[in-house]
Amino acid sequence: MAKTILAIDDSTSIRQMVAFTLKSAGYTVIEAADGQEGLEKANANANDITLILTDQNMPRMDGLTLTRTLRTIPQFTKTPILMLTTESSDEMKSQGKAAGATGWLVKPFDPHKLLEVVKKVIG
Amino acid sequence: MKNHTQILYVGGIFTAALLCLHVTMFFSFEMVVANSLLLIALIIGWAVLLKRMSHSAEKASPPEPAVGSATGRYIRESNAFHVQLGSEIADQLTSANTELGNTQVILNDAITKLVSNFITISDEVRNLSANTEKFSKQVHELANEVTQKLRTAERFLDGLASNDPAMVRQSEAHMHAMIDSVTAFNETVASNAIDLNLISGKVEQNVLVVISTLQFQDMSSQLIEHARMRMQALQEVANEMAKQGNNPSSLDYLERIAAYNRLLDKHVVSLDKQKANPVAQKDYSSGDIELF
Repeated sequence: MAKTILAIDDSTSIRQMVAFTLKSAGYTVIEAADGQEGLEKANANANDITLILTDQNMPRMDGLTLTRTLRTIPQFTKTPILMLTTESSDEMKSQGKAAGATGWLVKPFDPHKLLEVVKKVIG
Repeated sequence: MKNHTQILYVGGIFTAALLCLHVTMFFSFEMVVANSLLLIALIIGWAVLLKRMSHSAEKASPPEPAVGSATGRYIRESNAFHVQLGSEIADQLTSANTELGNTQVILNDAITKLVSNFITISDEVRNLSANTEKFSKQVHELANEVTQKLRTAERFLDGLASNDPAMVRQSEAHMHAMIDSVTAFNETVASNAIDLNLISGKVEQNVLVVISTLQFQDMSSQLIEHARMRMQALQEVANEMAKQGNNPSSLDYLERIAAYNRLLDKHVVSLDKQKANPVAQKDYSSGDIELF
């Protein structure tokens, strides 16, 4: 059965590109347009989601807040969460690490490298 | 000013009392005349002193500018200039903000459609490639089957060769030609399938390149949003400038200038400190990856 990845980004085109890249490698992708929607879809598909890929700067709820919130939910304490963002400062990365993120990917992403990281994290 | 006047009055009463006491103790006509003259001279002196103090106090805190005075005219003109400047800056910023917003929407729509189309093309080519491969296999199987049947027929004809050698040779030539045609068709289909697979692979590679480069929309969108945030802050300051009344007093005028300076400081300086540019990338090469 294909592994399910939750992709969260407020940019429609980025979501499409992430979804295309992941689907072409055989993953099932659930999309969300911001942190709040991401949290709702994560809760609704808690048993299926094996990886969460989220942007940082989004309306309603940003990626760091989402990560902190997810880490308080028992089903997501160990689910890998990758941040995919334009933010590249060490300070932001430290905040991501402290929030419980598994890794930090700076946009623009290379589809091959994204797939390599995803495979490394969830196999 | 009020305190000084009170001190002068108290001092005057006290001096008058001392002079009266002096007259009572050393009563004589000359003494009364001398003390009276002294008291009158003191009263005149105090009056002059009070008047001068009053003038200097007026100079220290000038009255509200009278209409037509130089200061009043300066404040009115300066205020009118600030109001006009604030209004024009606010209008320009509003237009620029709207235009940037529209650019962002257009860019977002265009890139989203472009990405959708690329993905659709890629999916179609992938499907076409898969279907062609399937079709090629079916043709290959069919061609093999036909070839086998033709060869069987060829062997059957060999058995009939003794009856009518000329007709059999003709039939065999036809069959060889058919076998060659079927084989050539089979090879063409197989070759086309291989070519299509290559094209499909190239399309997919190009789509991946497109995916990398089209991400500029996300970056430019964030930069535009950041610029709009700065413009909105300046717009608030300009609106504050434009709000000034028609004929403010000097104190009101100074207070309003201080108010929009405070706003400027709050919005622009704090904006710089709190939210640096969210996009540090200078080109479209892919960003760093760090696993914690």
